[in-house]
Amino acid sequence: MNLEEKLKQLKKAAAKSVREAELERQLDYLRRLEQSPRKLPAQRVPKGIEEYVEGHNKENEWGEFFLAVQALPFGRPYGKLRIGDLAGADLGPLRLVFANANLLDPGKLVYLDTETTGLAGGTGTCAFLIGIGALEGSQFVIRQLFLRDYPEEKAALAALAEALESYEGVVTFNGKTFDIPLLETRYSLARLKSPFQRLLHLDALHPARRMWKLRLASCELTNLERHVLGIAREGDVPGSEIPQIYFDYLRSGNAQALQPVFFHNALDIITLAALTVELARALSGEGSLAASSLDLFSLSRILDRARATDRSSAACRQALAQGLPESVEARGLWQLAVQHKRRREHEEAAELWNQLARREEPLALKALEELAIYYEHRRRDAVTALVFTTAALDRLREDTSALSLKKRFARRHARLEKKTQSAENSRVLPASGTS
Amino acid sequence: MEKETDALELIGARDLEPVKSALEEISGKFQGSGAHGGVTAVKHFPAREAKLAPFPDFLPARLVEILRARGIESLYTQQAAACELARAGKNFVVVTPTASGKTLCYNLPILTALVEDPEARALYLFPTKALAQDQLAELNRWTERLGDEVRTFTYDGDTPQDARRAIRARGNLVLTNPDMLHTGILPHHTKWQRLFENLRYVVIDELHYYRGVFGSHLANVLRRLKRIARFYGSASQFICASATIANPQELAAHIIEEEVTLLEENGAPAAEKFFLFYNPPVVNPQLGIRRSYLNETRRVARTFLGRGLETIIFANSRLATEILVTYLKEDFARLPVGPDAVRGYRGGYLPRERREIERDLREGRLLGVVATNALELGIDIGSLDVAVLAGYPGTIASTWQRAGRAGRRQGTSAAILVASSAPLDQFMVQNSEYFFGRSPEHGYVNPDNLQILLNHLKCAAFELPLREDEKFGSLDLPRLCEHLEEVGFLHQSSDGWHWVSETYPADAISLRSVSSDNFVIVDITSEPRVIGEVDFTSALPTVHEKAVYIQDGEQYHVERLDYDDRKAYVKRCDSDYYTDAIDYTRIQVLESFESAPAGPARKSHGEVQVNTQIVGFKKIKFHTNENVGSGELMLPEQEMHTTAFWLTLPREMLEALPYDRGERLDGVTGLGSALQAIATLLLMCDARDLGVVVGENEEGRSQESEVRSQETGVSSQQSAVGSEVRVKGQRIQNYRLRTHIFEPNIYLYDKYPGGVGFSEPLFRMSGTLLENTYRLIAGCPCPSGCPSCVGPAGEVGEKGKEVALAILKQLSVVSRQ
Repeated sequence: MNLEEKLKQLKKAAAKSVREAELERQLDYLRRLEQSPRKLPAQRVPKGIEEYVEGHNKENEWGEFFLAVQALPFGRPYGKLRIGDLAGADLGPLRLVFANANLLDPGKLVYLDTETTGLAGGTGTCAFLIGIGALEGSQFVIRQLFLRDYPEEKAALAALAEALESYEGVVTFNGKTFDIPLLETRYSLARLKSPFQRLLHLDALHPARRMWKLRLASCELTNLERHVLGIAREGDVPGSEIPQIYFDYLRSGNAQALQPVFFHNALDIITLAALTVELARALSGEGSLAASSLDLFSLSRILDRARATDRSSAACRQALAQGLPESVEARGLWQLAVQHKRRREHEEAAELWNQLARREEPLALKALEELAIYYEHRRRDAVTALVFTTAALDRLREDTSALSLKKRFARRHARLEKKTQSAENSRVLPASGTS
Repeated sequence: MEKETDALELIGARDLEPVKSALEEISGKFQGSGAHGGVTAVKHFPAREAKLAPFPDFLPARLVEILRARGIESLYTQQAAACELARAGKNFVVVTPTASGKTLCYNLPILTALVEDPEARALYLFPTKALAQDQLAELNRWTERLGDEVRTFTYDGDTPQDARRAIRARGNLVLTNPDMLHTGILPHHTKWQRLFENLRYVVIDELHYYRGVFGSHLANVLRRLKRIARFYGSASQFICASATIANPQELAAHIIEEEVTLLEENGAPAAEKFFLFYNPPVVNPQLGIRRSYLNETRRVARTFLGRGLETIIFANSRLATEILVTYLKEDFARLPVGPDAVRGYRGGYLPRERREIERDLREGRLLGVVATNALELGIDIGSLDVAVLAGYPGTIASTWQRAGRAGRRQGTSAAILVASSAPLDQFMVQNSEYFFGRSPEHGYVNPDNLQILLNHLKCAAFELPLREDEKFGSLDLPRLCEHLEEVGFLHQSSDGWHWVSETYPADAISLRSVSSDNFVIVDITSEPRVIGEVDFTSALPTVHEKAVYIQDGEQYHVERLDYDDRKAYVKRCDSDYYTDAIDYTRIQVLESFESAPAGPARKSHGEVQVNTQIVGFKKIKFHTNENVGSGELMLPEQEMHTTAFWLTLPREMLEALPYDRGERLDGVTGLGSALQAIATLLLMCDARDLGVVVGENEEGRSQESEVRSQETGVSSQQSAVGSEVRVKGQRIQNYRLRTHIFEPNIYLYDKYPGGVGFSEPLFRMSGTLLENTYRLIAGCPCPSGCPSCVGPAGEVGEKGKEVALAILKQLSVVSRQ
């Protein structure tokens, strides 16, 4: 059998085992092809993007690529914000969540998002569309660098590095684990110097989660967009379909389906910028969180972690006053108590632990432990400490999961029993001596 | 070579140190004649002086210092030669037995390179994670004294995520396995830029491990590695180390696809050693049943352990390991040392427990250990007095590796192989010169197997775009890329082919299993629980509905087979029968590559199409092997294109034999089974890797022949069956033919689509194959066929064995001896 026959045979064999995910993809692809007949290979050189997206060919020493530019005037509304708000915002409060962010001039930040050929990572995943957005004069300008085919990558990457030169920080959403390592890989493969080693990188994903996850079920970008910014995207292309749209385009040269991808990418960038502003506002105690006690409590926790204890306590009290769901309320009480303890306000802390200890709640055990410590060491009242310890052991009797906690209580119990016994003895002995 | 009697005299002649007195007891008590049982061979290896060479003058002073500090004043000759070869920029393969200073053959040249050039990098490949760990411990003894210059790390599935970045950036000697290289390193090569820019050496240890499918995969992984190294402007030298096989140089050259120098000398000293073969006596000559080899192993082991000799006992399965541990603990309970002096060691034990046993063995705190092959390779347990092998390990190379566990610097050591009744065991104990002579075992790979190659081509494209002028194997690369483009994985741009798929191709490609398409076994006796996996090819015959599936000695009844979701639902059961699938196999020659006369017969190799379908099963009673029922099955037909070696037995020759047609066919069938057993020996493969089918030779265009299966429910001996039977844990192929076959072809085919390179070597080695098949059958003491030779008489008829021998005589095999 020659190679041709073998390959034919392989294809036939592959068609038989319908299980492989790869094959499913191939079949999907074939089905789609049937719906829109494939162009001849001769027309492979793609020309179609100019027809659907406003932009132009761009050239540099490494070759060509396609660049789409759009500018949004400051007056343009975006959800409950206006584009101009991006320029006027005070980004200072972001220092609470970005430890390394010492420069937060909105004009020095660039917002970046990529569309890629997959999520697999590694050297075989390519960013075919790289969008960056930044303030320019009285506009927010979005530039989208697009590869009409793979050989255009080097020119696009070089142009990106050049465009990033005038900025000091790059903001992404999940860029830490995805976009930036991916682009760094692409720079390595293209043997170009990566601009990201110089740039300060702010990944908004984790701070956004810390700020809003108590209130929102999902902290995906589109969900934050809807609930934090008040924007409902319509007719957006699902992210999972984007790689295949690009592959289809590579085959057919027909760029029509890419138009919504450019749109999707641009929206992601504006949303990222708006979200960053909204995050700064929320962290300063303004913004939409006045309405939500949950956001207030999230803020209180962020403040606590940033060691802004007094502001944290204030936010926490405010959240408690507005009312929190039971389990969150317990966490609020706990946090307040810990903060009291940190300020050596032991009485106040004990009072809160007392409240917590009465609840049916995992934190109640920790509160009992704190109370036992408080009475044993601070108040030198071994009897009361023993009462709390016994109560904790009672609760733990059925529990097989908290072994180390149980052990700690048991040790404490033994010690306290000894202490109380010797205390009793020392009280009894002199009495017997006098009789 | 010493004569057997001489060796025996030697044992008795000296004053009786414990090993010799034990050997004398065994040789005396267990003496017997060849096939019928007893000690069948005693080989004496006299003590051997070291052949030493001075340190090469280019060896850095710091390394010489460390060698001296470790008490090493000179090198064994092969170690010095290895340094010279490496210095000269040669790729080479070192072949030396266990415990002869093999690791220094690659560690010295590489440490030299790393000390001389702080930027240089080296990559070590081991077939298992445990071996890499062990080697790391050895290397650390060097690096402790070298300071920061040599930074050694293992990088595998167990490496913590947060440590990986540091290893990638800092490590200049990275120890890993081919699987990790394939899925974790190559597809992320930009993160390993420093390594690939400076990659000077790649070490492949245990090279003989990489044969068949695994080796064919490795060759392609190395093609990818070289491509990436080229991208970063480096090219590395390869150093391989192999156990003793017949063609280490050829295997190495096929895997690395470069010229390789062979380094075979061994200057390491050795103390006196004995190697005995022991065959348990026959208790039932009619059925060819011998005394249980496990019981015999227990007796043999006890003889040594009772004298306080440190003994390692190797078993071939987890179950056998546990049985032997139980037996020996019982024996020890009555002795002063107590039952704790013997322990088991196998894959399922916890790592901590295993480290503890290894340490206790090194420090001599354990008297005996019963182990699976988990202790065969590398792992440092020091040297023991005696190794007892319960059953032939499957290859001569592993037998030597296991036996090598016994061997002191001074004093006598011994190794004993206790044969089971499996065909290869029997062949080995009865043909010891075969074992002690030059190794007959060959390692073969087929890196251009289309399916394997295409899979790695996908990975290669993922790693770097494929350019039209590149080389990747010997096939037409642009055409292969076009194919991958047609099926949607690649896209051709002006600068080459690019990967256009969202998938991560390496994840879908396993280097070890024949197919990544496995069936999961779910135990639904109570809470559903996954108890194992069976690869696709063995799944259909073993986990079809109503089959009795056996794992770790437990029986399970297959309740339901979900073919589409690749799941088999089983319930625990206690049945007195096992099941034996009946398959229907057709084989068709697509193209004959080469054909030549083999005596009056003809041998050929080429491409075939094999169609197999499981059509039913038989219920076979344990012990008596009675057929106690059957059932019908209709499972999807499997079609496979592969390569085969076949032997055409001319009609005139067969008809001239004084047997009737049925008997002749029985003989051909039996001959097929025996040929397969010997072929697996020559190719170092498992019976599962090599199928055997007997079919009609049809000259001319339509070369289709078939083996028709038994009509289910009809128990006629005359109807045809192609099936796999398990007898005493050994798989034996059995084929029964429809009587219309006049001119049979016996096919031995690669059970992997596209073939993994077995067929052509079999064609070349057909003389050895036939000669040893004759020895296997002729040497077997059974009267008319047993599972150890042509298959049980019940399967191949009364005359099966006789006819098989008659055919082999016709092929003038005998005269060749």
